[in-house]
Amino acid sequence: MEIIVLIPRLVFITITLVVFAFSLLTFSRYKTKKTLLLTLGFGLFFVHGLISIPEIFNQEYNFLFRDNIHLLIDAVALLLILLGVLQDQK
Amino acid sequence: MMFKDEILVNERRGKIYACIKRNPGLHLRQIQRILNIPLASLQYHLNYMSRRKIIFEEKSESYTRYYCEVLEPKDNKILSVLRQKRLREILLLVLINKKVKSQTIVKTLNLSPSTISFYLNHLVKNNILERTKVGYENIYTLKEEDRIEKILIAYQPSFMDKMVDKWASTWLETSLVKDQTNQENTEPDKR
Repeated sequence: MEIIVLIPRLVFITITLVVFAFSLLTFSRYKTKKTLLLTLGFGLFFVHGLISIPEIFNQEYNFLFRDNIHLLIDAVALLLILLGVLQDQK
Repeated sequence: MMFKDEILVNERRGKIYACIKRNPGLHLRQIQRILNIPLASLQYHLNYMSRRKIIFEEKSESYTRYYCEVLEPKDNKILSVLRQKRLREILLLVLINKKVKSQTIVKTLNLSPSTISFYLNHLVKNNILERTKVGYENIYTLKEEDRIEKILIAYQPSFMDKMVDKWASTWLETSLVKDQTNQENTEPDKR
């Protein structure tokens, strides 16, 4: 894979890791449904980044994850974050 | 090996120990101002007691603070709650006023009632605040004032704490718009 594709991808995965870590720490402190939904959402983005790492090194792996699957994972993550935002504090 | 009592037989050392015990978390200059002991002598006695684990030092960026006891496991639980800025602000408010109504906290911190209620419930659940119902209102008091005061002094927010604080308040206070509108509608007309 070309370096121009590789570096941004690794940067994005690192960003999702950082965001997920903050979210997880917030959940560990408050333990509410709202923080749980947000953590799951950001966690899904991070996992999505993680499972696409082998793709960087092996192009054949790409066949396992079609575009629709990627879109579905992102949609579910966004939905979880939306539910988290809309969730009232209890 | 000398015992604690033997070490504290020295009058000056005993005074320093008593002063730290009364006011945990004092730093060198503060102890010097209270006891009016020459700085070099004070520094010597503090180091002497610190080496023998009679007192404990906690080094922060600008000060070294002194304590008679290290934090107990129970304190760590309180400390983990105090890591959160909003909760610290509420605790300081209760600490200053002794008894506080939730409405006072809402007005002082300028947050929505539901957000304040969430933070207060969290503090009550963690046995830090005590809720007493008086008429229609809830009054909040600190459960262990001395202990919380001591931990508040000892606490130094780390970079990570600040980041998580900002993150938490961004997401936990997102339902503000609806709540503030409700609050404005329910507030009596002041005009």
